[in-house]
Amino acid sequence: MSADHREDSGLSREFMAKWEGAAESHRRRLAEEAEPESRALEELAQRTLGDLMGERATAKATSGGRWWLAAAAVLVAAALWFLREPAPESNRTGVRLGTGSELKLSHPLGVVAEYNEFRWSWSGAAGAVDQFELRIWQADAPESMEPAVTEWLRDAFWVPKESVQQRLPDDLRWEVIVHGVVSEDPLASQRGAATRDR
Amino acid sequence: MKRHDHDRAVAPADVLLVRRVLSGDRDARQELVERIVCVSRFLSSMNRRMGRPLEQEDLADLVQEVCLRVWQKLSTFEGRGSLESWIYRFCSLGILKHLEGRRRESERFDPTAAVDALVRSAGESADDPSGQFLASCLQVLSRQERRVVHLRYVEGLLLSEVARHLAIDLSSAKTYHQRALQKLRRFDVALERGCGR
Repeated sequence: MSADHREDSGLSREFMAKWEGAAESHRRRLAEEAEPESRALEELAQRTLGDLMGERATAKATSGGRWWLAAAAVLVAAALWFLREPAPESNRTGVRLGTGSELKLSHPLGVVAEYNEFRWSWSGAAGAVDQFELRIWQADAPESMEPAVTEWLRDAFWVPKESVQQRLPDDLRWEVIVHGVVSEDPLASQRGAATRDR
Repeated sequence: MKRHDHDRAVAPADVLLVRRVLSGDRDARQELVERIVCVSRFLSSMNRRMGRPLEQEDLADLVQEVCLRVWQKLSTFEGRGSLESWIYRFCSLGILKHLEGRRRESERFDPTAAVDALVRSAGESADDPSGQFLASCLQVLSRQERRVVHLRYVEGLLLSEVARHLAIDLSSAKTYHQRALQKLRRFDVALERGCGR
């Protein structure tokens, strides 16, 4: 029990300190009980955080395995870079995607799009996006993500808010579906947040 | 103590480390990468103490999820305990959420049994006075009160999270919590008299 809990519990300061010391000691014991197989998990934890911090994102992206985390890190950086450029007001209806591209997305706040479930179709002129569907999985507090996702799509990809439908099915996976968004930006394929050839 | 009372941080060095990490300091980031191993250690030990409900592959997924969560929330770290203690809560919450998913998949799976194993393990070190203290405190409580108190004050969950993981409503969790505190207060007084504090 930390000092946070002291005021409303009515327990003595000594009791609280003893409890917190015991809890801390319990946590320390757990951390010290590492088993041989947890070495691989330790390396995984270090790699994951390293990737998230962008230290080894590029190398990780080509090494397979948990590549989506690396992609997420790259895309966070790309999205942040993109947001630094003022979007022209006259052209806020387009999604900056290249034809024939695959896309991996990550929200600057940490939402990670699942690559395999991301799909969209093209119609009309090159670069036009008729519809795409993006499923975002957020492990915790999904209800708080709705405005953030909408805002991000609008700012990073110029998707108008009214084009975005969001659902929150039971399995806590966001489905963000964008309809009828057209990009006429000739730089779309170059400036897309993350594209690669099929 | 208010939630944003930085002056009373008990781990100022860790607060400083986190600030440096967030400002992009490479050395600080390297240090954090070294310390993040506690995630896998916590999760793997919890899993073992719970009777290994998670396979190695599930554990690996969970390690990544927790690391992601820690990274997302890093700016909220206030140094009210060590960085590892702060990270511990993400591990507890992560593993319990995973077990909650199991409950949805299979009605036969009982996550409270895993919580009970965790509660038992907190006080099982006979040679450790702090473990004995926890065990004696928990002994004065009923089974459900014990679960609530352990999840709240050892694992660091919010009461709403405790309710969710024990599959009880929030008002019941509050009732168990209050009853447990009453018993612990009596125990505290008894200890004080016994020890002549």
